[in-house]
Amino acid sequence: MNPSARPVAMGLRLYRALAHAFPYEFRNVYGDELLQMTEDAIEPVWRRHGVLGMLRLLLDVALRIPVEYAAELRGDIRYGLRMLRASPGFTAVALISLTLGIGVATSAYSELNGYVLRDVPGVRHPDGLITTKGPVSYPDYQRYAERSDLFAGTMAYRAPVPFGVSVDRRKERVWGHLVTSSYFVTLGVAPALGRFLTAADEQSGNAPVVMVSYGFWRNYLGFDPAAIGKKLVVNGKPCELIGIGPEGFRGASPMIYGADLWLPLSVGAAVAPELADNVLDRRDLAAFQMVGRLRPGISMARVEATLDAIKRQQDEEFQDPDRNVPGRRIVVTPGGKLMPLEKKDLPMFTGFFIVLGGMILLIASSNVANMMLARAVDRRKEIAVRLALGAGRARLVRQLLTESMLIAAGAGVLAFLAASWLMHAASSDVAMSYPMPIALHMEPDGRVLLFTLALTACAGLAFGLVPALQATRPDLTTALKEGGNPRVRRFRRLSTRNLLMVGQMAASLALLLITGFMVVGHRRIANVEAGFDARNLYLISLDPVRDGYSAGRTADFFQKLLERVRSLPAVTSATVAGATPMSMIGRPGVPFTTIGANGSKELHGAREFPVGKDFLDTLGVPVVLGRGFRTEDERDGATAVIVSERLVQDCWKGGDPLGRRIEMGSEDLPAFAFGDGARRRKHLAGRGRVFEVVGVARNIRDGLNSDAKAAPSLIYRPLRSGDFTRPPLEGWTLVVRSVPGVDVMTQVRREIALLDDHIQPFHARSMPQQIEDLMFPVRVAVWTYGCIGIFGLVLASVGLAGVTAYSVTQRRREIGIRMALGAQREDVLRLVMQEGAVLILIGAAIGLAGARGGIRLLSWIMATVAQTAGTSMSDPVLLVGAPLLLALVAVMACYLPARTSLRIDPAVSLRQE
Amino acid sequence: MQEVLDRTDGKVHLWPATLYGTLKRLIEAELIEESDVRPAPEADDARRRYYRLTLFGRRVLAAESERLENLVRVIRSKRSLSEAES
Repeated sequence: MNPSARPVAMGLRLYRALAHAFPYEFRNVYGDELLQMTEDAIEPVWRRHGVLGMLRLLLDVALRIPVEYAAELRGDIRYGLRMLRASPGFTAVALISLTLGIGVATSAYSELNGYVLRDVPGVRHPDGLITTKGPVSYPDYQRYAERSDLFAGTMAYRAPVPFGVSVDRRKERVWGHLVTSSYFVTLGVAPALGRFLTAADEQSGNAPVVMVSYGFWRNYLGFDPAAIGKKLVVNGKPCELIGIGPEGFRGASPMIYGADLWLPLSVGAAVAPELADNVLDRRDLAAFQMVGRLRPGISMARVEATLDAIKRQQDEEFQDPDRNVPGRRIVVTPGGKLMPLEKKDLPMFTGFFIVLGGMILLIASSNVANMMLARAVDRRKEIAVRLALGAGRARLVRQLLTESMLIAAGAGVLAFLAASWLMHAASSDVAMSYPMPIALHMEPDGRVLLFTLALTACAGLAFGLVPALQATRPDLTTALKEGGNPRVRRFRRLSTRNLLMVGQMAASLALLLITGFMVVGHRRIANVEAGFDARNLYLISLDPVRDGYSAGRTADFFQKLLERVRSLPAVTSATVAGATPMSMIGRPGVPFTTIGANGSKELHGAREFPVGKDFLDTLGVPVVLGRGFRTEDERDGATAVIVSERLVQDCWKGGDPLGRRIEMGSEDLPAFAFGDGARRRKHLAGRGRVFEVVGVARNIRDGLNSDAKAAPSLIYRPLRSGDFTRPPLEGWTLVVRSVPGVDVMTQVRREIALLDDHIQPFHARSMPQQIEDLMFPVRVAVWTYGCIGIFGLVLASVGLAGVTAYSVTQRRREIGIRMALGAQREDVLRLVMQEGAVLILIGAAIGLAGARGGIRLLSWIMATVAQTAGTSMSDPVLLVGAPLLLALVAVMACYLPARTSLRIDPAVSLRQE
Repeated sequence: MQEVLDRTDGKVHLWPATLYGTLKRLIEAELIEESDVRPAPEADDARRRYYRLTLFGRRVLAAESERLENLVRVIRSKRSLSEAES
């Protein structure tokens, strides 16, 4: 046939090209006929239907191609499923391995996502927000806010701030923020009901107003649509409710210091004790978080440089003693993320998750790859037959890949479900029962799902492709011969499987060691002695100022309460304190200078415990030098303090501390950002208070220090009535030591209620409970790392067992000959296990080196790793124990399948020839 | 192709790729099979393949045409009923 018209020739060429794109099977069977038929028909079609007919002809073939591919895929999947069903053991182990691998990686990623990658919910264009790392003072903020060439809007807030709120005679303690009127506008949040602050609300002297979160509206106001205009009693003062936040919005920092209540700064110290001491006018008190919305096209670097210059100028103008300290004064970080991390810190933060998750996935993948390889050799006859019958290599690779993808997909689904469940259980919206507003939302979202999908696909490819390529190497003649592997080699030295095996051993040992370092380090943290007797010690928090009391009335109240509580027969000792050791809320540092005999000053840091005079007695902390507190130390103007042994060591290098004088500055805000936020100061800012050391108390533990030697420097300062104007975040704590076996808390509560039932006690706990709560994250970490390490171990041994078992079946004939020639059982066992043992040794050596390197890298990246692993790095139990454990498990994994070699009957195995 | 077009008075146009896709499906469903019976050499083309109905295919065809006949009968009787009513 010779098409006369050019369009016909062109159409035919196009048609041929399209027909060539059909899957191989279809082309093989129908390709020629299809083309022939088209060649016959194309001319009449052109004549009868013209261009439309030609298009229809091409469309017909173009539409058919994907349909045929889908049919092929369906066939592949059906065949793959049948093959997987035929070897249920392999399928189960592969599925479990991969589910563990992908599950752990997905969990790690959703944790990362929950901590770091997520945007602040409810905020418009979170990418445009910046925040300063570390708090700033209000006068400084005002200067920064003037730069409207950089910012489309700025706001400042103080967080966390606890409020005592009474709703319908119910008293609740709620966390909130004290905010500038620009807070909501800058964040770009619109109220669900009512209105948010305007500049007019900034005028002090206006009736105080309050805004609440959607959650508060739901939990405490029952979605009351008429709630706007209602009076809420906040810290004992009536405030008008003007607005309700949108659903999901918990303020500018929802993870740490989420807010349910917002009050404007204009409410003043009368409502919020945090605003006492002219906080808004003081340059030396960095008490506010600043958030700015960048104008389009303004870079963070430019903002940082500008703000830094302003800060320098301010320091110069007001003769700040630290004005000549080099380094940046202001660091700017993205403000729309859950955690205010600097961009350069982000990869470091994510590194740990990625390394652990990646390693487990690597082990799992190489595990399955290894089993696939073994299986592929089992199937070499099937594959050889198919190759011999003319199947293309690509076709077979596709078939094998389909099988690995099926396993990966199954594991991906299971892993995602498991991770979702796990993360849901781990997520919390911790309410007031915890002393700090911390909310962790780690539920997997769309991003995590995408991650799992990508991971699954990669894993499927990774463990499927190499075995598939190897299995389909066209080496027909040897494979088709009966007996499989005809050559008997002692070591297939650099075979893919052996390499994989060594890599897997190394990775799992490294993983085991790294997680082991973490577990041992964390266990050390959990086990350090508190330094005082925690038994029979009970704590309950009270915050009379936030219940509407004045400072003077609060002092009276505590005096009366202590008298009544001490008179209870079950109580041996009682005191009130502004801080307790081992509290979740932790003590922020307070800077102080030691004053030398010649007036020289040296700056140090310590934790300040404002306490009643009986505090040390009640806790059972002995005063090792000097005297304890007396009643006169609680008078206004008294200067006595007691310091811990550690502080003496640090400041006076073992010299006589008694009678020395120190000058204390103001307490810092609780740490907000990770890493060191503010630059290190060299001088005390603002006015200090001068004290005299009258005694030295034995070291106690406070917080999560791993080392007994790292006991914190503490300054115990007697509480005076003036202190009650500024209640600490966790309120005042009544500390009671009782005789054993008495429910003293009920009696204490009754005494409180008898004295004044308007005072709402909260967070009642025993000291062991408080320590337990503090250690909870540590325990979780121990479990998590422990589980990851054990998963790795299990996976590696499954892999090893598989390889050994396979090698036994491979060498069945060789073993049969050896036994027939008189080899003993031990000889055979040695022969079979030798190979495994060599792999174990090589893998262990690499793994040991890898673990040392890995933990060093991680320590360098993350301070917390350095802190926990630092003490355990050279732990001999771990360094010897982990390889031994792995070797033991590995030898077992080798031995069990190797034993089957003993059951080989030479007669049977040789007859198979 | 041409024959289908002619037989259906030009209403059904069976395009090549669709035709072979359908053939493949019919073979997979075991409704048709390749046939050894070839026409006289002068009408034959060596490249051509011939198919015939299997026994199963014949039975499916019979059942299907019976089903369609029944369907048509039901519709006809309904229509005549409704025509009689109106």
